[in-house]
Amino acid sequence: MEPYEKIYVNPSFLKTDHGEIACEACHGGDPKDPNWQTAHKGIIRDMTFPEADKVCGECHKDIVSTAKNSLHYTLAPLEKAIKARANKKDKGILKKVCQAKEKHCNACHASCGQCHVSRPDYVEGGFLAGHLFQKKPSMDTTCASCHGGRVHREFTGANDEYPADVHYDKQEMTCMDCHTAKEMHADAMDVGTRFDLPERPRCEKCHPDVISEKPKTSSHTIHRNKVACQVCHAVANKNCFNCHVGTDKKGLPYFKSGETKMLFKIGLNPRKTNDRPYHYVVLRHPPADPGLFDFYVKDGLSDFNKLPTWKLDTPHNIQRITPQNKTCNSCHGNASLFLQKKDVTGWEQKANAGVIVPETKIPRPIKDRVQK
Amino acid sequence: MHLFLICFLVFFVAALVGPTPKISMAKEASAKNECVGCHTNVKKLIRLSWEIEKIRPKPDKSAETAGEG
Repeated sequence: MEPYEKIYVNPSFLKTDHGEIACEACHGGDPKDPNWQTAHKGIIRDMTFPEADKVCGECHKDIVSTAKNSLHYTLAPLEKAIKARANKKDKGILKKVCQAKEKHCNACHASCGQCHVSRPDYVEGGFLAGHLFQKKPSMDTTCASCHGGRVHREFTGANDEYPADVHYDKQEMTCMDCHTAKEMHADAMDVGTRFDLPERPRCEKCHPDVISEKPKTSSHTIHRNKVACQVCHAVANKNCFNCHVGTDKKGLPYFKSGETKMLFKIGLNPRKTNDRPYHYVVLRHPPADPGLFDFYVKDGLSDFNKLPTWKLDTPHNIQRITPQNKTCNSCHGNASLFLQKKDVTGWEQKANAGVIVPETKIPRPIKDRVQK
Repeated sequence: MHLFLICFLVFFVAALVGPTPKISMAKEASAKNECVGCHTNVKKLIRLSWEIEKIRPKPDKSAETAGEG
């Protein structure tokens, strides 16, 4: 985006409800000052962060009351994950971990304005449509700005050799068809992970037959509540390894991450709930590493093993037919699909004990079972 | 007494025909407002962006960053 495009206001914006509000009422500055430099003194570009109540809340009180605690606004589960792994015995170390987290991890977030008016700060902003408010943001410019490295690529089939999600390819669905405003604006302060959010997408909402008493497909009767939908209907996801962060000689923050791998690994469900009672789920390796904050403080993540490094995932590349569901024995007896001890590096074994599938839990080939 | 009545009528009429706060803000925005004058004018914005670049160069990104974020 050219710099001028980022700040160009479409004159039609001035005829909208939001455009009728005086510029300085939201952004500050002096609209009467012809000198742009002094006129912009005290300007606030995104006044919807960190306090959503101040501006949006005046008219959209109900939405803002929960949206200010939403996943996008707070990244609350990420904070919980880092705190769970952090060294809590030494307050000095914990403080440095929190500072590093603030500097590197909290740069990712989205406010009201960064979804509905401009691109997120993470990609250096810029109006989506000349300051016109977008009730439903665009998948390609808004969501993909932050989720373009993994989820958007999976969904649109940008990963070589892997097909686009059937919902995108055949039904032309976008992110917002599943991830509704209700979910985006939901309060997430009390959830452990994003998968615990009650408002999250549910396959059965559009596919009620799958969980009905008599599903049309026998495999749904057999596997219901035993395997997550994605175990049969997703393909490989992107796995990242070894992320380290630091500050360079110029004082600029940097990160260094290791290789990425397209893998498909089924693991044991690390945390069964009424909503997610499955024995088997799809896993993904995020760039978690015990040395993540070593530049700032040694031994910062001394409780690293409190959480698995192979975590629950819901790949966004759903297919009706996948390599693992073509026949029963495409999966049954196919040990390579399952996360085994040999797939996990030595230092990660302990953290992943609850998700690694022991040989005894790899489903036996159907023929064997019938014979016995 | 006459003066009071005249004042009362003047205020009463002004209140009836005067703009609501919302409309007045809109008029203010689209009338002589430097923000609107500049931000809706592509030519001005391009010229300004050159000026801004001279004064405030784009913030650097660390050359040490490596790998996918």
